[in-house]
Amino acid sequence: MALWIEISPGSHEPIYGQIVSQVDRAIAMGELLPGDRLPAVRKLAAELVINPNTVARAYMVLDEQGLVVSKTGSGTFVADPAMADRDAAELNALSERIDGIIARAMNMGLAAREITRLFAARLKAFTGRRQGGQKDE
Amino acid sequence: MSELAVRTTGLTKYFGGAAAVDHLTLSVPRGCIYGLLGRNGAGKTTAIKLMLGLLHPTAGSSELLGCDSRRLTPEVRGRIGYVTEGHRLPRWMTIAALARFQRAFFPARWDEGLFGEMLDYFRLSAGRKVRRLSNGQRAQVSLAVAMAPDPDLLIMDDPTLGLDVVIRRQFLEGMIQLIQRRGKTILFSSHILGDVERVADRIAIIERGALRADCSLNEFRSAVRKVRLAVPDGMPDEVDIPGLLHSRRGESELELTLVGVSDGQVEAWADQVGAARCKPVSMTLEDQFIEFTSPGDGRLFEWEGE
Amino acid sequence: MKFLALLKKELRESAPWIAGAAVLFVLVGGVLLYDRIIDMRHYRPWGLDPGSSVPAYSLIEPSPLDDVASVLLVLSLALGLVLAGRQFWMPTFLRTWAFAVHRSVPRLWVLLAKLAAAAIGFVLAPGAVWTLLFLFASKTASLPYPPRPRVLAEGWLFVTLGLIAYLGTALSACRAARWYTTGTFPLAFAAGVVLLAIALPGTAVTCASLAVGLAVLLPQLVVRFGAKEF
Repeated sequence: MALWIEISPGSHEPIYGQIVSQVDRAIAMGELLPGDRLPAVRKLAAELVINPNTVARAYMVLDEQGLVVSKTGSGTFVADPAMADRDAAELNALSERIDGIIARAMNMGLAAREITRLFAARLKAFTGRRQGGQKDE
Repeated sequence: MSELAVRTTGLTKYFGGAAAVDHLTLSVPRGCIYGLLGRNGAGKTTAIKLMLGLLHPTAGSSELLGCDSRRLTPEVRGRIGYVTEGHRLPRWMTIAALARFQRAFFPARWDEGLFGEMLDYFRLSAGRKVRRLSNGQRAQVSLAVAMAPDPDLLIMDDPTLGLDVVIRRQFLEGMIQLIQRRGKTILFSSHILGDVERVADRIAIIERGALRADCSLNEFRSAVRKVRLAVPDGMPDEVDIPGLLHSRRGESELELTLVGVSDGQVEAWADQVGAARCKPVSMTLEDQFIEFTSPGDGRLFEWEGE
Repeated sequence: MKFLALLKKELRESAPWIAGAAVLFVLVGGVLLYDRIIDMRHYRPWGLDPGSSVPAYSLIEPSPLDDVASVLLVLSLALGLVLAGRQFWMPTFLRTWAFAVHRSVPRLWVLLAKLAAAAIGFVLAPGAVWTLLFLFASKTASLPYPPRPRVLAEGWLFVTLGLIAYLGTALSACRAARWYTTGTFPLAFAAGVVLLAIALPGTAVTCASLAVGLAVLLPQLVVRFGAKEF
């Protein structure tokens, strides 16, 4: 399992947020596969030289987002998306964010067709970078 | 057994006519890593010395591990490790002699294994004299000697001051090692925000001897925010939002730095004055600290979290 | 165990000064005594042969250890100032008080360790050397008559005066008052005691002034050290 996490204090993003984003990205890119175990809280804290509570918080946020599953005693594992419940509230939140992006794009003067094209291109580029290259629709 | 490792109540200390510490009331829960932040001369060292009973308060009181600071018993002092400002140690001692000296006071608690590990990790040989050590190495020895007796409370006064980057990182690693042990409380003062951001659970901000904030680090990070608004011409000069730290006027823009103000409140105010397009501006901890401790109109801001 | 560690540390820190004083005194005192021995070889008390034990001579003959006793006094006073300086001023200068005082022992022990180390220092450097010189002067065949035991006792009184100087300096260092207000009062008081002890005739007066000095300075030092801010 290749998981490189780097944090930098003094950044705009809080440290726990940086960990969340990086794990998020790693899962999205396929660097972390469902069932993979995330590093132990103590170990990661010692490596990154940060408070273990910060790591714990990051893992908790990831758990809440449904990206990982914490099993007391065994550790924290990447969740299997097929098994995860699609939380209505989460989908709502996601929809709102998409709305925000659409609004901004329209304010910039893009037409609906251009927005769709832009989105498709970005999606293609993103999935193209995935390791193991599974074809997605 | 007290729930709080450290508690101060209205702690005040005057030197001549000036208050070095001014009605300081804070509490450090057990097991917490507590960062005392403040600029140089803000009163952090004085506050720490008052807590340790090395100075007598002009007013107010403080308690360490449930014991009054002015009457700390030898037993309680034995459970408190102290890393002093500047890491001043007797210069004639070798590291081994220093360890022997320290160990004599902790026949039961001294952890020789941990001490040896830390010396190995810092690559220090026990035969070296303190006067031949660099500042950074002295800091490392101070930490090792303070941690080996397994203190319940470790108080450190600006421990990484003047240390180079590498030594500072090693020092923090040593701190993290201690943090991993359950139930230990660490109170440390610093003005290096990067270090505080790494290790602190809670922070307190001291300015001119008085407490300006006492909350968890996460709370502080999310409470101090900056927003940018587009404002029409003919805007009122007075910006009246409770929780305002700064306001900066641009050409047709207004930038507000706020504490503990929700999105809803900002939008409500914006509607009121006819401003539009609230855009959040992200801030680093350093930005937040600077804005918090230097309000534009000279007012001193006070904010308390949970 | 803990007190021993404190004492060892204080002794080690004062050791160079004590050793220096001892060496200095051995050299200077030894030279002076030797000088006097040479002098006295050429001197014959009227009508007496060496070896006879008539005490009358001691009323007009100066003791062979007179000069040495003067050196002893000056050395003891100087050692008192220096030891107090090392123990009570240097930590302020080097900023090591916090290290010394934040210990799992009553604060009084820290002071007692310093006092014990000073006492040992006085016993060893001026005290023991003086005694050795006295014994040498007593035993040597080069002097026509041995010094009186009273001389030995007086020398030890001088050593105690050194202790008074030490306590006065230490108390000055522990008081919070500025030197230009009442901060130097303890030093002045100690100086007064010393002057009184050596100026006024009679051993009884000397002992009395020493006793007063100790009775005033010692308890004050204990209280002040306990209340000292660092």
